[in-house]
Amino acid sequence: MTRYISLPVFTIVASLGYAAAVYVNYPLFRYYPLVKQFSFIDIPNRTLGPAMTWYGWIAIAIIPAIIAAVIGRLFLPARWRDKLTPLIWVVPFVVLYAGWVAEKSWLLGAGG
Amino acid sequence: MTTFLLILHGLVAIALIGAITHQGLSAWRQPGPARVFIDRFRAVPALRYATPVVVLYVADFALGAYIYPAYVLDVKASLADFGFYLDIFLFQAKEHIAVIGLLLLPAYWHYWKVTPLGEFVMTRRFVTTLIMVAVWWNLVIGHVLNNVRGLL
Repeated sequence: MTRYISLPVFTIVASLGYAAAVYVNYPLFRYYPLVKQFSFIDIPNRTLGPAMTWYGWIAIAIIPAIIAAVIGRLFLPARWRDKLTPLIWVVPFVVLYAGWVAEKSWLLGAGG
Repeated sequence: MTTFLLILHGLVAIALIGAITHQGLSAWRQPGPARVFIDRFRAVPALRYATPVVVLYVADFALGAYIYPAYVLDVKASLADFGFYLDIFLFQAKEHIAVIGLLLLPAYWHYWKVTPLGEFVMTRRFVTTLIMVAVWWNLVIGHVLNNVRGLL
């Protein structure tokens, strides 16, 4: 598999994509567990119950990450890919920050 | 069925926490005789833990993702009704930290299985330690939240 995909590039791009999706709350789709229904748009209908965005955040992060990882493996020289390694140290904290921004309202007592 | 899957989720997490803790502590160990308990705990062939950690993490993540809607419908709404916002925040943090671990797995695999063990040593240690911390956080927070009704 590593002949066709750069795993560190996947981690970097997927993490940044997830952080961006969480930060701006832009999931690929929403899931309404009460009615077991997926939707690409936010349906403003209270009878559908709560919408879950978590799956959609992951999905929207993974798609560009796969493309970037394939491009990175096939077209980037190894020494350039190695230079991306320090980003591995940073991206988890970018995700944490985005998560904090998205969820801090719970901690501040205002609810989601 | 959800209760069975929740217990299975916890059991897989316990297996995962054992594997990643052995490996995470081993990654920082300097070669030498293992005389005390902590050294014997760390004196394991860390490379051999990479595949089990990936398999267990993905399996546990999938189980958690599958039963997540039950939490949203049955638990989160009740917690919000009673004003337990800190508990909700901790679980929301758990979901993001679980994703951090999941998305680190490809790089983790790369640095353990693809690159020579003499290269990228600090990055390998960092990634492994971060996954270990994520697993510990999620198991402890998940356990606390699972028992929140009895703790309050």
